[in-house]
Amino acid sequence: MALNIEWFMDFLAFVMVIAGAIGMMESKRMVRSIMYFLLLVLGLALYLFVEHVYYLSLYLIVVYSGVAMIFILFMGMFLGDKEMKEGGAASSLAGWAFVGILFFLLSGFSVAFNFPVLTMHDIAGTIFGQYGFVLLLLGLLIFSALASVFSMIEEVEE
Amino acid sequence: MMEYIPFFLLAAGLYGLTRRNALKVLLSAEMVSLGAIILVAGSQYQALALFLLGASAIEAMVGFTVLLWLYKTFETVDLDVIRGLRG
Repeated sequence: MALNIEWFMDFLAFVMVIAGAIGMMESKRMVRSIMYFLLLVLGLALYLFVEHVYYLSLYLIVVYSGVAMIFILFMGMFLGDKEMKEGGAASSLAGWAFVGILFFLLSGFSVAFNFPVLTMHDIAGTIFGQYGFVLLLLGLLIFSALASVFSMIEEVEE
Repeated sequence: MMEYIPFFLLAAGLYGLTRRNALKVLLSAEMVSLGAIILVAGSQYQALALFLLGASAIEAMVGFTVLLWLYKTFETVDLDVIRGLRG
């Protein structure tokens, strides 16, 4: 029997959301709470991806990763050295979050001022070909999942 | 299975609003608004979902700024300790 990939991704998203919510509530440390919240957001983004709402899925990841990154970095700045060290683990999110926000702004401007060349779909399509947007989204999903997993591992090691 | 996620997010978010840690309260409020976003995203009003997403991100940042100021003033984010505006 062939594995139904959509069902599997749906189930994975469900588990990510539940685990993220429970982890966020029960975690004793602030940075870990934020990381679990990010896991919840990733689960929701995966669900939207399965439901073919690609734009919202991408924006959800970009916006909330940016928010989480700013949370952690500012928390590190204001709460002292120990928290800063943990905040540094999440700074790998900064680069791609910036690129994502740039895409977001560009597509916003293109819609507002009717420059169809600058839509995100076109940019990704030019770079990756016909299925560029899907590839770009998958890449971002994998990268963000890896980044959050690595930050969690670094935190646990400390 | 995933159809119930907005309701789960609403319930978990409401439970989280009763916690003592201000950061968890803030993230729980975000969970409630994420539930609304997911609910709207499944409908035909996807532009509204995008608008809600931006609004809730801004709300998170404002809440976080308040949280930082609370910490600088009271040196804690425990809401049982911060009782300056109690009725």
